[in-house]
Amino acid sequence: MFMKPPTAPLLAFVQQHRIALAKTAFIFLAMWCLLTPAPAASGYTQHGSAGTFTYQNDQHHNLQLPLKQTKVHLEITGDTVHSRVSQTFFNDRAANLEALYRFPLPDNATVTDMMMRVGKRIIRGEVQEKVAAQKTYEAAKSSGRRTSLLEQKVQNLFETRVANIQPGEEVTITFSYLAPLARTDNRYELVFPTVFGRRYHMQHSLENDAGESHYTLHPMDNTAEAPLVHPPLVAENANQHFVTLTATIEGIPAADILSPSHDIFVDQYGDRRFAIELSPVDNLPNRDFVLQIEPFIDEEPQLSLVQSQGHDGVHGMLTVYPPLEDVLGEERTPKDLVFLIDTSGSMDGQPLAQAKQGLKACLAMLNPRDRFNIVRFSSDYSSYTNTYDNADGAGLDGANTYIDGLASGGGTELQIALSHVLDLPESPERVKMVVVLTDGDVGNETNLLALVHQRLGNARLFSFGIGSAPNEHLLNRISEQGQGVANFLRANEDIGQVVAGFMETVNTPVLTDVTIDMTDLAGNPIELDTIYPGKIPDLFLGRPLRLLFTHHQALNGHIAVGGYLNGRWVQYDYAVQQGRSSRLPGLEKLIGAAQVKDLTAAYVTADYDTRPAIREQIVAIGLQYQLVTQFTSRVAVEERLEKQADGSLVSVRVPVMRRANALPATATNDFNMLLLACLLIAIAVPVSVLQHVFNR
Amino acid sequence: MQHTDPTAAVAPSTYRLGNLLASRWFPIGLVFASLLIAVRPVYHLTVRTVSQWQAERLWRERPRDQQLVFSGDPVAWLRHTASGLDTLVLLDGSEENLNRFPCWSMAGALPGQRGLKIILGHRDAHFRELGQIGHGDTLDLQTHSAAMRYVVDNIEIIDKENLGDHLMAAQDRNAVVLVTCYPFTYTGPAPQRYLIWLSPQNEPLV
Repeated sequence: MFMKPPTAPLLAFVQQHRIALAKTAFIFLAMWCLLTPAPAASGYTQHGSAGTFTYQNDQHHNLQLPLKQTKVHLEITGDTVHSRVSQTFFNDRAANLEALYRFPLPDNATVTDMMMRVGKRIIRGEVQEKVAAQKTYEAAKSSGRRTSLLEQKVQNLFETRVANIQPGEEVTITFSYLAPLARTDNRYELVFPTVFGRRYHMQHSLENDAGESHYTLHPMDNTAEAPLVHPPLVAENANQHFVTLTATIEGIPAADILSPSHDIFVDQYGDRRFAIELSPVDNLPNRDFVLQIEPFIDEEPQLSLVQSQGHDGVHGMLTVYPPLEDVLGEERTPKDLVFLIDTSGSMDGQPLAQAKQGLKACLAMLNPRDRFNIVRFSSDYSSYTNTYDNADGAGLDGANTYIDGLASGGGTELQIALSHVLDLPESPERVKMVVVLTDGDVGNETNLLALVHQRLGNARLFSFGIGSAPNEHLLNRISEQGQGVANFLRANEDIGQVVAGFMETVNTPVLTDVTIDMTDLAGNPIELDTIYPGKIPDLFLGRPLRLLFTHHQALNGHIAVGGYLNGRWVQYDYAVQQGRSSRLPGLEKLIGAAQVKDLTAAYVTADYDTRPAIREQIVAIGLQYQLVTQFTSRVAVEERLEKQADGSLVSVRVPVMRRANALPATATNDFNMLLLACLLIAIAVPVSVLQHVFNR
Repeated sequence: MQHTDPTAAVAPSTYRLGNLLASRWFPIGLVFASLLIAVRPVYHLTVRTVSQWQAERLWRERPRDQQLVFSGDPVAWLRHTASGLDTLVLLDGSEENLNRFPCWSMAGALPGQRGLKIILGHRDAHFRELGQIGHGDTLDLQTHSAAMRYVVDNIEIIDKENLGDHLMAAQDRNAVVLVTCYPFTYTGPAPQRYLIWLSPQNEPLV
C-alpha cells in the first residue's frame, strides 16, 4: 500500500491556504513598519528687542555687542513681503567671543536665505537631504570641530550662533525671509522692528559716568542677580547707529501709501509699482517702522497678480478677495452639525468639564433650522441620536441632559468614531459639519488624515483642542484636510468668546466649488501649466484666496472667479493687463513650498508602493528651492577662506550643525522587542502542535 | 488502483515552505530566536529594577565634596508626590544612563549653574507619570547644594526635529524642563516630545 509521506497533509494545508498565510505574514511585517513623523509648527513667540547679538561674560551675564549698521530692503509683492536684512556688529571687547544673534520674525515667516561674514569666514545655511545632513553633522562632530553653530527653523525667531569672533572683528549677518502681508479693514499694514540694541547705548552713558567698568553692564534678562535698570533711550546726538530702509511695492493698486511712524519718500513707477525710502533725517532706530498701504476699494472684486520671469518660465501669484460682504444679510444655509466629543481617560477632570461647557455653548448658538447630533468616544463610541435632532427647545434640553451625563474613562479610539461620523448621511440642502472636541492624545495621525481624505465627501471638519496640552499639530492638520478650521479652548480663555468666533466662521457664507477661468485678450481660454493648491479650497468670508502658478509666458487677459454661494452660482470677472514681468526670487520659493504642501498631503494618503516616488519629489523640490521639509534639513556650512602658498584664496568647507538636537531618544525599544519574542513563540507553539498532530 | 504522487502537483516553492513548516528545527529555531531577541529587553528591565533598589543607597552615599562630576553620577532627586514620580537623576543623558534613571542632560546647564536645565527620561519607564502632571503642580528637585520647589508653568508637545531649537530659544535662565517622548502610548520611535517647563517657586525649602 502507498504510504503517505508525513508532510503531505501539511503541504496540502499550506497550498490551500497560501494566500491566507501570505496575508498573515504581511500583517506581521506591516505591524513593524514605522510611521514617518511629520514636520510641524510649534507656536513659539518671541518678544523683545529686534536684532540682538549677545554673549556671556565670566559672571554669566548676557551682554550685547554694539550694532554699527542696519540695512533693510522690503519687497512687497501682492500680499507677501520679502525682507532682506543686513546687520553689522562689532566686537569691542578684548576677548575672543562666542555670541548669539537673534531676530524676531513675523508669524508664518520662512527664512529663505542666510549668509554670515565673520572676518574671513563665510557661513552659509544649506538645505540637504535629511540623511545627508545627518551624515554631514556626524562627520563634523566626530572630527571634533565645533567652531560655529547655526540654528534656524524656530518658528518666530531667527537665531544664529557664531564662535571665535576676534577682538575688533566685524560680523555681518544677511538674511531674508518671506512673510504674508497683513490686511485689516481693507488696508495692508507692515511693521518692521527697528529698535535694535538700544540697551547697548545705555552702556555708553554708563561708561561716561563710571569710567572703565566693562563688566558692570546691566544684564539683558530680568531674572539675573544684578539689579535691573530700565535702559534710557540714547540721546539723538550720541547715536552711532542708523537705519537704511528701502521698500518696493508691486502688484497692489495703491490709492495711498503712508507711514504713521516715519518720514518717507514715495516714488511711483506706473500703475501698481512704487518705491519707498526712509527719509535720511528720520533714521534713528528708536521706534518701529510702520507702513500702511490703502488699495483702491472701488476695484471690487479685488485681485492682485504678481508675475516673475524665471529661467524655467513665469512664476505667478494670484490673490482674490471676493466681495462676500454684500451677501451677509442673506438667509443662512441650514446645517447638520455632528459634535464628536472625547470622553477618554486623558480628558478626566478639567478638560472634560471644558469640553462640555464648550459643547453647550455651541448648541445654544445654533439656528432653529439647524440639526445636530452628539457622538461620544473613548475605547468605543455611542451617539445621542441615530441621525440628527432638531436644534429647537426639546432637542436642546435633551442634549444638555445627555452632555451632563457624560463621564470620562477608557482609551482614545478616534478613528472608528470618526469613521462612523463621516458615514452619517448628508442631505443636499444642508451643509454637514463635523466638530471634534479632543485633547488629541492619539498616535495614528497618518491613518486619521487618510480617513478624513477618503470619507469627507462634501462635509467639513472643524476641531476644538481641549486641555493643557492639546496636540495642536494633529488638530491643525485634520482640520485643514477637512476643509475647516482648528480652534483651541485653553484653560484661561473665555469659552463663550471662542465658541462665538467659531460659530461665526461656521455661519459665514462660503463660496464653494470655486473655479478660475482665464482667457487671453482675444478671448481664447488659457490653460495654466501648473497651479497650486491643486484643489482650489472653499472661500470663507473675508479670507483671501491665494493661488500660485507657473506658466510658460506672462498672463494677459481676463480672469473669472466663480463658485456657488448658498447654492447660487456667482462669478466675478477681472481684467489683467500686465505686459511686463519682473524677476522676484521669493516667488519660486513660495511655489516650491506650495508644491511641497500638496505632495505631503499626497504622501500621507498614498499607499506604500508610491510613497518612495513622492518622497523623492519632495526632496528634489526641497533641494531646488532650499526649503526645510519633512525630508530635508538645514545644516550650517562654514566656508573658510585660506591663503595658499601662491597667494590665492581657497574656500574650505567646514560643516557643522546644531548641538542640542543630539539629545537621545527618550523611549526604549524594549516593549517592541518583547512583543516580537512573544510573537515568535506564538508561531512556534502551534506549528509544533500541528507537526505533532500530523505526524501521529 | 492508480496512485498519484501527492507532492507532484505542488510548486517547488510551496514544497520548500511545507518542508520548512514540517521541520522539527523550525519551532526550535523560532523559540531560540525569540530568546535571543528577549535578552536585551530583559537585561534592560533587570538593570532598571536593580537600579531602582539601589537608588536610595546611591543618593545617600553620593560623594559630597568632590569637585568633578562624571557621567552616571547621581546629581539630583526628583519628586512629584501626586503622580508617584520619585526618582534619582543621573548626570549625562547617555543611553546607558537613561536605562537606569532619568538623566540630567549635558546639553543644558549643569546643577548649580545658571541656564536652562534639561532632564530626560523614558516615557515607558521612569517618566511614565509625566502625563499626569498638570499646570500649577509642584515638583521637588533636590541637588547636592539645594532643595528647590518648582511649579509647572507650561506643558508643550513639539516635534522631535524642533526640540533642539526649541530648547535653545528658551528665555528663562532658571527654568528646568522635563523631556520625554510623546505620544505616551506609541509603538516605535515617537514623532514628538513632551515638555514640562518648571520654574522655581520663590522660597527655597531649606
